[in-house]
Amino acid sequence: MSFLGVFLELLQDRKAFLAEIHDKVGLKTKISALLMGSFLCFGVYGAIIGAFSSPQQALASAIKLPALYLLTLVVCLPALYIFNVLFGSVKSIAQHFTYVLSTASVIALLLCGFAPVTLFFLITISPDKDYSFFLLLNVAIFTLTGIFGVSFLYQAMRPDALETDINVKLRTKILRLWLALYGFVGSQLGWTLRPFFGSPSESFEWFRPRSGNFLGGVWTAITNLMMGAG
Amino acid sequence: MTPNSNWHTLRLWPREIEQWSGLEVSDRWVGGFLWGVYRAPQRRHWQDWVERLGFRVMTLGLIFMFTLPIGLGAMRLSGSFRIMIGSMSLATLAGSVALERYRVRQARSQRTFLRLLDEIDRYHEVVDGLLVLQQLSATQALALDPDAVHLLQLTRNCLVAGLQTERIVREHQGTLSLLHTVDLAANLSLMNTLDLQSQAQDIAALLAQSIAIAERVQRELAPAIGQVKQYE
Repeated sequence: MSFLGVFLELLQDRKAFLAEIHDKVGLKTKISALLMGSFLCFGVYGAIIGAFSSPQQALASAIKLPALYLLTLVVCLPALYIFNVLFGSVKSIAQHFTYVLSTASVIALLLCGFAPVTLFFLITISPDKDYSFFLLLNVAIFTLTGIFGVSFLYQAMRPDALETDINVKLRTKILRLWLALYGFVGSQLGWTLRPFFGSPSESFEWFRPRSGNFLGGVWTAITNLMMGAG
Repeated sequence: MTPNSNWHTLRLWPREIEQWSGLEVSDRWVGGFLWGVYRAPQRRHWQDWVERLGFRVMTLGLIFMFTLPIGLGAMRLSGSFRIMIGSMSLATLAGSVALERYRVRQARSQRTFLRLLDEIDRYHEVVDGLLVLQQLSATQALALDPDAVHLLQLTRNCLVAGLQTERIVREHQGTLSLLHTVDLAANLSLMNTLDLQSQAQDIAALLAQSIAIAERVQRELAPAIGQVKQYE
């Protein structure tokens, strides 16, 4: 199966794709294609949101956005695998990795689907006045795509209803907890790697100094928007 | 069995190859393009070079992205952008060298397997050629010798045996006692006893190619069989 073939199968025939992961068919090819494909899609979207402030920021965000999603996976994967194995799962770490990478790829493809919308607003709004609007628009897009991605992973990895293992319910709970952990780690890593958009009023910087957290940042953007600060 | 399903079963599909060899095979790569071995096509075009270069650049980009935590740490410690980029570049270089060494090692251990894949490609060319002839025979009243299909089946068996043998040799260097179950010699002698008088010359040529493939597989596996005999 080729690089594009893996992506097409994920989009067109998800059942067969997940069945192949379950049967350990073509895992290395899938991991390679999903890793590279999601890296490219996240990179393109990162470049678009970074272009809001400067070309340098576009380049930085094209590296930082894929890093945000893929590093979060790498950070959280061992916890999922070890807990699942501890409570009766027979899936290998390569299978776990392929499942979570499929999720990242679904999110990446959805973001690419939203790219023209983001590009449209990027061209039509004023960078100085509408920074908070652009920020919140993207928070909404990231939240929406994240929800779809997470629901995909939940459907894909939920223990089979036919399984008779006594730990099936426990493993479902572990998966839910892991998804919360994934969101929490992702938001904090996102906060650590910021800026992704780059404030037009500030000069370009790769990373901002450590301060506050993700939820505080969203709250500041909402209050700025309400008070008309732009 | 219908003629079409017959042709279908004659091919060696990637999933079957993976099952017999334990290695994933795609059009150009063995074991995925990120850390797998590149399979050079028999007829090279400039597009192949561009594709390969593109994958190399993307792999470098991917490694560079994964070194971001190192860059973040360096930036926080030194406050210098140059040190951040320098540390990330160094880590990317180290990662690329390690990956390349791994690929070279893989390519060495899979040398026989890669040759077998080339033989499988040639075998598929023969199968495709005969399929075209069979389709022509429907309109030109040319009948395909039933022995041809049988011969192809034997070549296929020989290739499957080759894949299994190669796997055993690759995975169990030193403990090769299972190899005597693969009866390659019997397959070849059976093929030699077949009468290859085909009705069309094209068919004869294709079948001769099929035998040549089987012979090359035999030659390729001769060292491995010799190794087994030493153990026996």
